[in-house]
Amino acid sequence: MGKYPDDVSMVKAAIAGDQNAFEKIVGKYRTMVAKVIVGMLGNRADADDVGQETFLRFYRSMHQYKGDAALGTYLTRIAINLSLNELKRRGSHRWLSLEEKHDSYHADDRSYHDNDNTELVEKALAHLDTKYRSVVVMRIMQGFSTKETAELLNLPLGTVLSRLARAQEKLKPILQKLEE
Amino acid sequence: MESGRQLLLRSYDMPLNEKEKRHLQDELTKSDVLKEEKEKLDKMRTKIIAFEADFSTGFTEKLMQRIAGESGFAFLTVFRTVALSGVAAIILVLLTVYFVDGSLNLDSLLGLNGYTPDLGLLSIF
Repeated sequence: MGKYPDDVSMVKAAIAGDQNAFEKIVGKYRTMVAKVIVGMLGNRADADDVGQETFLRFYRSMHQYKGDAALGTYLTRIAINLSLNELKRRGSHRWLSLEEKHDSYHADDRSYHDNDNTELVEKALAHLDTKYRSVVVMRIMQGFSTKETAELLNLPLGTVLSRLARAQEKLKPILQKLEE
Repeated sequence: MESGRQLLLRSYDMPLNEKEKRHLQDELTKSDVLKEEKEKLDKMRTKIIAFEADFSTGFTEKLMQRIAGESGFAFLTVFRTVALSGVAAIILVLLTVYFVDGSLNLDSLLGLNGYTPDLGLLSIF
């Protein structure tokens, strides 16, 4: 068994001042948090800023984490709330400019853009309103159950289901057209 | 009963009861259009699940530097509070000595005001 057998012990160690433990938490959940934020905001510099803020918020509040929710879910809740705040701050419900995703900020991060599927999904999600995109990211992309998605987004279950249905109806022709 | 298409969509995100499952299966068997719809939905959802993302290079290092800065800042804040409290206590003592003895000479600070060498010798006996 490693130094930190589970997430709760890692968090306890981090609270006690073990920065190595906190770094392990970041390492373990970094891509999961990135998927949520990039899925919501697109591949922009903002995604990194929101990602930093997500882990910083967790760092400042981790003494409140008791292990009642999975750590991934806890971090996702912070990430989705900050992403929604960022979208409100931008004043847009859709991403602003798809051309911006190829700006020089990410010129050296080719491994991400080399994934054609990722780029395709990103382009398709850009066409969705925030309310549809959020349920797609939580339920389909991240694999949370419909009930967990409803709790994370603070929505009734019925609303999540109807938005999922509507989002898929919108996405299908978009994805087909992008693949042509 | 919902249409085959509505049941199909719901089946991905909520469990169907036995009756609904049978109805959906019947509809899928009868309808090539619905079968094609299912294939498209399966393909689409697979693509979304396969979405990959990560933050830029140096993300973790930058984050840990910010956290180290916050930890250091927290330490300095506590240290400053303790240091200021200590300084305040010393000022209070000096003020008390001054108001009681009327001066801040060494004898006053050591509490030796009013002592004469004779009294000091007598105290030995």
